[in-house]
Order: sequence, then C-alpha cells, then structure tokens
Amino acid sequence: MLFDLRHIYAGYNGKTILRDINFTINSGDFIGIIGPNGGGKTTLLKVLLDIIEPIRGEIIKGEKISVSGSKSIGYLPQYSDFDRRFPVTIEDIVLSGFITRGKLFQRYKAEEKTRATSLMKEMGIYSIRKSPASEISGGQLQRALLCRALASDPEILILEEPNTYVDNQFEHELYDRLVEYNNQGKAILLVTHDVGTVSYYIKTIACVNETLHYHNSNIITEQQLASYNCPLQIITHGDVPHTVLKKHDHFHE
Amino acid sequence: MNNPLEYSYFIKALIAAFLSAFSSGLAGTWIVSKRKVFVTGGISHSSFGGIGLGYYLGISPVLGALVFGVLSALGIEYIAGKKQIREDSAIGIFWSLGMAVGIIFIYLTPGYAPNLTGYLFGSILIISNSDLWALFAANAVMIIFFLIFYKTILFISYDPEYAATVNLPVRTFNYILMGLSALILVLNIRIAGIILVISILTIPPTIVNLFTHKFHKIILFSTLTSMAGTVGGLLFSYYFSLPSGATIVFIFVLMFVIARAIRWITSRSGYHERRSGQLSTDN
Repeated sequence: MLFDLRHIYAGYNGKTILRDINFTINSGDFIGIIGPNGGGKTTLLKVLLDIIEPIRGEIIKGEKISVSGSKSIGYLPQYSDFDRRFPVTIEDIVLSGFITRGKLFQRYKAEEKTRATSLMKEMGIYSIRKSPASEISGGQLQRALLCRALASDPEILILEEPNTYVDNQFEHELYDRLVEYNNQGKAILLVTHDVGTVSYYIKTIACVNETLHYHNSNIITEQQLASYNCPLQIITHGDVPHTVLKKHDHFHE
Repeated sequence: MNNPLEYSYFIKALIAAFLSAFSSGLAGTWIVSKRKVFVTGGISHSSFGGIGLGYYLGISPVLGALVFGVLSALGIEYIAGKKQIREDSAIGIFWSLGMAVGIIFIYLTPGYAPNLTGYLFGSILIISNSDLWALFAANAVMIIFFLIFYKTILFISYDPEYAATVNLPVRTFNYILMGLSALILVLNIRIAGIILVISILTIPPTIVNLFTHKFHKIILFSTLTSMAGTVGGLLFSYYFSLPSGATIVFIFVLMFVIARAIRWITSRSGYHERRSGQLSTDN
C-alpha cells in the first residue's frame, strides 16, 4: 500500500470540494482519474502531494512513501503556469528533480548527473540539453518535465493532463513509457479528461466529482455510469468496448 | 583636464561602481529573470518615505530608506502572495505611499534638507565610506547566499509551483531574495538616485539576456557589462562635467541599443542561413 485515504474532506478558502473520499493506491496500480473540471481532481492531487491539509479524514502513507518523503512521488504538472522565458536550460530542469528539502545546499552528486544524462538520452533530449526552455517545443519541454519527475526514481508517478500540449508522436511514446514503468511495480496516477485514449493503458478508473467512484476495471458499465453523478462521454475506440452517452444532469444532495 | 585618478573622490566613485556591478550581476539578474523590475521601481520610490523620515528625525536618511525599502519589498511580496490584490496594484500603493510620506516629512523638517537632490538623482562622487562598506556587506551576503543555494534558488525561481510540491521553502526563499534585493537596491540609490536606480540594476542583465539564456552566465556577464558601463559613464561624466548617475544610465541604454542592433543583425543573418538551408533541402 502506498496511500490509504479514509473519509477525506478537502477544499480551499472554507469551501469543501472533496467529500468523504475513500481511496487506496497500491504499488503496481495504473489508475486513470477522470471527472469534470472543478470536480476536485486537482484538489485530490494536492492532498496526495501534501500541498493542502485535508479538512477532515485520515491519510495513511505506506512505508515506501513515508520513509523517503517527496523523493518517492514523481509529479508531472500541467505546465501552463511555467514561465518559459525564465533563463533555465533543459539540463537545469531535469537536474532539479533531485532537489529535496533535506538537500537544499548540496551540490548534485555524480550519480545524479549520470542518471539525468541517461534519462535525457532515453527521452531523446540529450542533444538539446543546453537549450533554454524558451527555445524548445512543447513536446520537448514535456519530455524534460517527465525526466524531472522520474529523476528520483519515485514509487508513484502522478501525471496531470499530460496530453494537453503534447504532439501525437510523444503521446504514444509517453504512454508506452508509463506502461514500462508500471511493469517495474511502480504506481501511476493519470489525471485526464481524455478517457478514450487512456483506457488502452490504465488498469482501473476513478471518477472524481466531489465524491469518488472507483471502478476496478478499465471498462465501465452502464450501471456504474448511473452511479457517477457526472456528465462524461466515452468514445468507441479500438478493441476496448466503450459506451457513448448523452449528456446528463447531475445532482448532489 | 587632470587625470581623474589623482582625486580620492574619484577612486571612491570607482569602488562604488565596481560594487554596484556585483549588485547588478546577482540582485539584478534575479529581478530581471523573475520579471520584478517594477517591483523594484516601487521599492526604490517607497524608500523616499524613509529618506524624509531620516531628515525629520535627524538620523541617517540612508538608514530610513533601508527600513522603508525592505519593509515595502516584503509587503509587496506578502500582499501579492495572498493573491487577493494583484502585484501591480500592491506596487502602486507602496510606490505612492512612500513618496507621500517622504514629501510630508521633508515639508515638516525645519530649514533646508541638504543633499536631497543627491538622493533623487544620485551622486556617486560624494559617496561616503560607510555607504561603500554597507554596499560591500550587502553584496557579500548576496554572493554567499547564491554560492550556497544556487541550484535551489534557480529551481524555486523558474518553477515555484512545482518546487512547492516537493515541499521546498519557496516563500521563505522569496522573502529572503526580495529582502536582500531591496537592501542592495536602496544602497545603490546613492549612485543613481531613487528615480534611476532600477536601470543600473536591471539594464545589464537585460543586455546579457539578449545573448544567453543560462542563469549563471547572465550573472557573470551582467557584472562585467555593468562594470564597463559604470566606469565608462563615470569617465564620460568627469570629462564632460555631466551628472554621474544620469550619464551612467544613459551609457547603459546606449549599450542596450547597440546590443539589440547586434542581436538583430546576427539573428537576421541566421534567419537567411536557415532559409537558404531549408530551400536547398526542399530542392
């Protein structure tokens, strides 16, 4: 077990966004988190990343998480907030994945530099490692941010809408790479609105819309959808059976 | 005209110019990279309140300016961090509040306020020994801080949101960097004055940023650029009997225009090379 969330209530500025969330994440999980904008997907991530304290409820962290702290969580944010004109190179970005609170003033170790180099080579950005963030493509930056997230060899990798700015080629590469990482026994949490593409790769689905509905499969049945309380659309795509639904209203008591 | 190096005041001015160059290299590079040029504009103007208070109480106006400058820097950072008031609005409030307080206290001070124009427009040629020591100490602290925490400063500055997700003390670092920058900025007021001080800190990194996007290179080369500009400006002002602060700023702007022209010419020729390269592969 990595995380066990029990009866979590969370939100900001006195507003409760998540209610009574019960959710367990284990090593080897590949969970797709879907749900409407404003439904609380980001809030759930912030709770997991320890950026906000839950209002109520309990988070139990597994040994792998509690022992090495932030090093055990890799995070690929939606990079829209990132100031790309800031003078920073690809290499600087990847290396910053090794910085933790306990190592604020240490220099990068030789093995950290070696790992950064091999990650950049794997992602095909080694040749442009000296380029500034302002002069590379969105896909290249996303690769660099993925290297940063993977730098500390985390137990769980959390990705937020990774397909927003990415070209098609990298999207497939990214998912293949995630499957490979997942096969090494690591957990992956993929937050996305693009249910169609990810259902190929994910093992289980959780729908977050104030509350959380967990499906122990990557296929959702009509009955399960009825319990969702949220409008979503699934497109027929490839071998995995999907349902197309019309928009429906949702109510919370 | 005599050799300026025969005058002790000129030697002191040269030392001040060199110290100011380090300010431009570290504080200036951080300010420009973080897009905080107008925050520093607000800080330098609000420090006028401290200058006025200094005159009124009969204490050192520089001391008053330091207190006002640092407090307004931390105040702007705090208010902007709360996200309820936008940063530019917070700057506007501190900027005008400081000026208003300064004007009121100078009005209330009996008699004439000596050297007032020196604070407004700068007077590197009458800088005191204690000013130099203070500037030296503030720069030394900034250099040590950067040497110890360079990689963390870079991380927290380029992506503060992400740095917060790995539990780094983002706000503490921002307060320290903002406070130190304000300290250095106010001490540079002696050189260029409240109105012009932001240019001597921020034009050199802006010039270097045209040619490189590597943070440590901007720090190094903007220090050197600033040295060239301040010394050049000092000599120019000496031989043509012009006010030193304004001349230095004028030289910096001239350097910026030349650098921009060089960048334009080199990027245009690069563009033509790329285009001709593209055409030949197309054929």
